[in-house]
Amino acid sequence: MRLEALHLQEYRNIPLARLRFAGNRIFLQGPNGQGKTNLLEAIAYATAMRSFRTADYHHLMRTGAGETGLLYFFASDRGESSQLEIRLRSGGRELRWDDRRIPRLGEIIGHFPVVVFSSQDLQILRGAPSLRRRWLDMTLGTTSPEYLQILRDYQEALQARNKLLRKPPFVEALFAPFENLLVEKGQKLRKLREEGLARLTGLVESFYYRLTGGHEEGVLRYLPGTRQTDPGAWRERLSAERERDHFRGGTGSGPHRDDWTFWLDENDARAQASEGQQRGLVLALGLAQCRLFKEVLQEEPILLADDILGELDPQRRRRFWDLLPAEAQIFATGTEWPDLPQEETWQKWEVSEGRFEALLGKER
Amino acid sequence: MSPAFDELVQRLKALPGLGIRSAERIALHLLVQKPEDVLPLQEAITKAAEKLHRCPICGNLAEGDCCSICADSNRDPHLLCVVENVPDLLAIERSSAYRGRYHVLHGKLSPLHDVGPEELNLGNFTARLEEEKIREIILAVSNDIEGEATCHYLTENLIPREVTVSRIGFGLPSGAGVVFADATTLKSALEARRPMS
Ligand SMILES: [Zn+2]
Repeated sequence: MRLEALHLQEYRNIPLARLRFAGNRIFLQGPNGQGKTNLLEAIAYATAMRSFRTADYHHLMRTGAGETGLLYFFASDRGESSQLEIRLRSGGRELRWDDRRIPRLGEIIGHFPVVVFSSQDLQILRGAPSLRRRWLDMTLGTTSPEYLQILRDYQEALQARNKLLRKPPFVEALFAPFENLLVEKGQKLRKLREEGLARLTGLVESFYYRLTGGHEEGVLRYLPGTRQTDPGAWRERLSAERERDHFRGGTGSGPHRDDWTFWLDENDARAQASEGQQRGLVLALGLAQCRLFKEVLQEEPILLADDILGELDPQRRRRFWDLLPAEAQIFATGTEWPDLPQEETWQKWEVSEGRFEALLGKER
Repeated sequence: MSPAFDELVQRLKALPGLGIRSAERIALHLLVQKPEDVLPLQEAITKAAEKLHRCPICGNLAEGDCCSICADSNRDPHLLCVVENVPDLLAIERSSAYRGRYHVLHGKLSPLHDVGPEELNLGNFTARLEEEKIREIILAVSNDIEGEATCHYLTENLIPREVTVSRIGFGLPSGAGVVFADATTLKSALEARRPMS
């Protein structure tokens, strides 16, 4: 997939921008805080109407703006063009796809895949389990509507049980239907996450291997949020835990407590890997996500590299470029012009105070 | 605009499915464009409110002692279809693929909205199954978590084992209620109904 043009209106620090991108290699240069990451955030927003920086879309609206507009001109790998229009207002969001209004925002998920590489990615490895769950849900949800549906069902059953927990005495007849569904959907969710992680870990291992020149083995391990695998035993466990969950303020175990971790040569990478190794692992994770999207969606995702080049030593940087799919469109940012591979193929932009300027001679 | 107008709009807006704009449009339509419609509408509402009530047997709308479906002796008396609300019943009737009677729950189990079994129309349910010697029940309840839980609650607690229970809704888009399905979809769902395990 390729983004050929992007119009932004009252978005973040950008009053108005009409940008036409030439080719598959775009580099945005400028000091920090000028709008580079804002632009990448806007591109990535098309994947699932979700920002990689904030959960509240109002933050994307320029201060004082009544309405924010994002208009994307995409071309698919097969050359079909589509136009996506997103309008943000304080009252809600509106989505139009080729001038057709899309009432269910979930409908675009999986159609405009974007993969983000950012220095914040280290938090996926280092941060709280909720960040890893969110990443996994986003990744598997983008590639499977079934996953999204089961995730939604599981969360609904979980909320229902948590609500019932608030009011003792606990009536068996009321709990049983929701606990049964919790186990049924929870088992499916667990299976899909297991399969998804198994597929991802194979890719991570291979990318990490190639990124580091083949010295260490990096893998992902699934840590299920419950030890129960048999549905009957799981249900019994839930019913035995009602009292305790009541005092705990919610259901204590289940896939909503799932986690997964990075391992490097049989060691937990969070505790035992160097910062360089950790960066290598999350880079391999991003490459794995990109490959997964391509394999499942049959569409090369757009890649965004937000100021990550400076963090890599020259050898890894070169290997990273070599591992990126040659056909993928790449948007990279930096405070300095880096030494880019095949420099003449890049379209260069200067970014300053929310304004974007394509450097002359590079427009085609 | 004026207190009387505002009150009318507020009352219309409180009706299901009406936003502020539709409420204003209806109010203006009645007051400005078609004031002659106001009195007949007022009378129709009053008359319906006086005459119509909940059928004491099944929960459908009824004009007499019971609704027209409960009174219809041509219906299969041992076949029962459980629905969430009256629009669902009407949708199934329109499909003309069903010849039994109904039981309208007026909702589904929803802990989040504080709807438990007491809030549903279940007071006479078990007595009905016994008195009418119901042999088969079709659960035509929406496909979402709350709908599934409601079906589970009924089969585990209120429906005797010897009654055949089937569930429709599998063919409908997930999460959608029965009322959103068109007649053809409903018909094939009713014909393809499967016993619940
Ligand atoms: Zn009736």
